[in-house]
Amino acid sequence: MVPQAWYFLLSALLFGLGVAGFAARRNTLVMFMSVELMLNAANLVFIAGARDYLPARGSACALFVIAVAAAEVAVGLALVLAIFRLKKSVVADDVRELRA
Amino acid sequence: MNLVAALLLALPLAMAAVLGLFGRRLHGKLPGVLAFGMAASCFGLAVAAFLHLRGLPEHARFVEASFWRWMDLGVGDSRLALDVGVYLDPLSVTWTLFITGVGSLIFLYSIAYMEHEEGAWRYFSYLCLFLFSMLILVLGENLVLTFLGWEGVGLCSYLLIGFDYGKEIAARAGRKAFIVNRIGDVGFLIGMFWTWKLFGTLGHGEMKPLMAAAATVPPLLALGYFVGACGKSAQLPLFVWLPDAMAGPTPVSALIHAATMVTAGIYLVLRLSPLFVAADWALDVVAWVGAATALFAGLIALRQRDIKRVLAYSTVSQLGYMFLACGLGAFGAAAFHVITHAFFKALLFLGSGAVIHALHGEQDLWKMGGLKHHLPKTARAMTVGAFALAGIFPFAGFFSKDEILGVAFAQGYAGHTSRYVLWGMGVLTAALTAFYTARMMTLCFGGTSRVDPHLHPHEAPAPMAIALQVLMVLSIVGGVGLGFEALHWMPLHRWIDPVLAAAPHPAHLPAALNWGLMALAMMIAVLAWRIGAKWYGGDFAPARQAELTAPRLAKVLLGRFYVDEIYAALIVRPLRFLAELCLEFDRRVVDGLFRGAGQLSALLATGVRLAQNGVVHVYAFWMLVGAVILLTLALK
Repeated sequence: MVPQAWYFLLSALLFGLGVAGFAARRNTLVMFMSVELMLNAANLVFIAGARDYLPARGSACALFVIAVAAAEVAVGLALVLAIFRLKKSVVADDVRELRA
Repeated sequence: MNLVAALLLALPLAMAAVLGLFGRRLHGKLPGVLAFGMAASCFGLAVAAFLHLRGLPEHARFVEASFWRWMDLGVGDSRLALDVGVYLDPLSVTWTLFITGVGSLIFLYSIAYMEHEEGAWRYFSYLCLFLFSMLILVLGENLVLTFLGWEGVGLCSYLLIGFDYGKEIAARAGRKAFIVNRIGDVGFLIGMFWTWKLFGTLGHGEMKPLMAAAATVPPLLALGYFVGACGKSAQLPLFVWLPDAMAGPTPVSALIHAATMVTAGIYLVLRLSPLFVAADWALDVVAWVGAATALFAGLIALRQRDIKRVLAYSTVSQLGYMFLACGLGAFGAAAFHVITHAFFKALLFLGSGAVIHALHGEQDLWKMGGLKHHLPKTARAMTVGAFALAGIFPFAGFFSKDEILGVAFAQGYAGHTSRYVLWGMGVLTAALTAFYTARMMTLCFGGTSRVDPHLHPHEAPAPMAIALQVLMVLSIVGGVGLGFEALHWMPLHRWIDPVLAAAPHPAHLPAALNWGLMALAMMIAVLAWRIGAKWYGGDFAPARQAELTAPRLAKVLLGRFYVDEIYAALIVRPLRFLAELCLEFDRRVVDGLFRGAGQLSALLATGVRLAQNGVVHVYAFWMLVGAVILLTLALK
C-alpha cells in the first residue's frame, strides 16, 4: 500500500503549484485553474485521511469540496465572462476598478 | 362643583387647541366669536362657582377637587405627591371672576380690533391658551400647578407680544419679557423647594393650616416668592420688560399686561400671605420695593410720548401700590386695588387701542390732540378711566388707593414712623399719577389737533364700543360697590379677608383724621390734574418746547432713568462677551479637537488606502501571508 506520507507530499506539491500559478499568471482562466488545483490538493488530503482514519467523514468532506468547487466555478466563470464582455480581456491586471 | 371647575379649565384649553389646529380654515370673525363665546361661558361658570362658595358657611368656604394623581415622588419621609386639581376659595374665585369677566370684554373688543389682521385665528388661539394658563395659575390645587400656569401665562405673553413677529421690535420685546421673567422664576422655584422642605407639601389646602401655625419662617424663603412676583408683576428691578411688552396688540396689553397676568405676583403674595407675615422683615422689603416702584415708574411716566408707554409705566406704578399694600399687611386692600385697577386700566388700554385704531397705528401723543371731537364716546370712556386712575372721587381707583394710603398713615400714626415715609411716597405718586394722566388725556383728546390731516379718525366699531361702555360703568361703580372703608362698607373685605393673613400691625385712624386724609388725597389729585390739564391744554408749542429743552432731570425721565442702558452695560454686555469667549473656545479648542481627530483618521486612511490597489495578485499575496501566519500560530 502506498504510504500516507506520499499522498500528503503530493498534495503539498499540488497546492504549492496552485499557489505559484495563482500568483504568477495574469490570465484569469489560468488563475482559476490554479485555484481548482489547490482545492483538489486539499481533497487529496481528505481522501487519504478517509482511507486511514475516518472513512465516512473524510469522504463526505471531499464530496463537499467537490460541490463547492463546482459552484465556485459556475460563479467564477460567469464573472470572467462578464468581465470579458466589458473589457474584451481576461487579463487580471486590466481590471483594477476596486483601486481606492 | 367639580364639573364646573373642570369645565373652567377644559373649555379654554379645548378652544385654544381647536383654533390652533383648525383656525386657519375659519374666516372672518368666526375665530373671535368662538373665543368670545368660550370666555363668556367661563365667566358664567365663575359666577356659578362664586354663588356656590357664597352659599357655604364662612369657615368652610373652599372646594378642593382632584382630577387625577399627577406625580408621586420621593422615598421615606420626604415625599411629594401632587394631584391635578383645583382649589376654590374666595381668593381664587375673586381672581377667576375678574379674569374671565374683564377677559370676556377684551375678547369681545378683540373681535373688531383684530378683524383686518392677518392670522387673527393665531391671536385668538394664544388668547384662549392664556386664559387657560391664567386659570390654572389661580385655581391650581398646589403650588406646582400654580407654577405651571405661571409659566404658561409667561409663554402666552411672549407669543402675544411677538404676535407681529415680522417686526424686529416685537420679537425682541417678546424675548426680553421671557428672559426677565425667567430671572424671577428662579426665585419662585427656590421658594417652592424651600417650602416643601419646611412643610413637606405644596398643596394650597394642606399648606393653609401649616402656614398659619408656623411662628417664623426664613425671610429669604418669602423673598424667593417675592422675586418671582417682582418678575411677573414688573417691580423694581425686574420691571423693564413691561414697557417693551407694549409692542404686542393693544387688547393684549389690556388683558395680559394690565388687568390679569401682571397681578399674578400679587395673587402669589396673597395666597402665601401667612408665610410673608411669619417671615419677619420680608414684608418690609415688599412694602419698600412696592412704594419705590410706584414712585419710580410714576416719574418715568411723566415724559413718555407713546400713549401705551404712559399706560405701561402707570401699570408698573399701580402694581407698586398693590405691593405696598401687601407689605403693609393690608392684603385685602391689595386685592381691592387689583380689581379696580383691572377695570380702569383695561378701559384705558382699550380706549387707547380705539384711538390707535382710529389713527391707523399712530401711538405718539405729540401727533394726537383734539380727538374728543372725532371720538366723543371713546373720549368719555377714557376720561372715566383716567379719573379712576388719578384717584378722583367717586371713581373706582379712589377707594382702593385711598384705603392703601390710609393703612400706611394709620401705621405711622400707631408709632411706626417709617410708615409715614411710605405714605409720603404714595401720596407723591398719587400726585404724579394725576398729573401724567391729565397730560396724556389732554395731549390725546384736548387742545388743537396735531393729527396727520390725511387721516379721518372714526369711532370704534360696535364690539369695541360695547366693551368700552361696560368697563366705563365698572370703573365708576367698581370702587364704591366693593368697599368704602371710611363708611365701614366693605363687602369685598368680608368676602376675601378670611382667607388672607391678618395684618401684623393692625392700626386704625380716628374717623375725623381718616376723612381729612381722604380730602387731602382728593385735593392733591384734583390739583395735580388741573395743573397737568392746564400745562398741556393750551397751545401745544410751549409745552413741547418745555419738554424738549428740559433740564437734565427731565431728560433722565425721558430716558427712563437709563435702566435699560445700565442693564445692558452691567449684564447684557458682559454676558455677550462671555458668550463670544465661549464661542471662540468652542470654535478653536472643541471644534479643533474633533476636526483634528477627523484629520488624523483621514491621514491614517491615506496610508491604509495604498494597500487597496485593485491588483488581485497583491490581495492574493497578502491572503497567503495571512494564512501562513495563522497556520504558524495554529501549529505552535
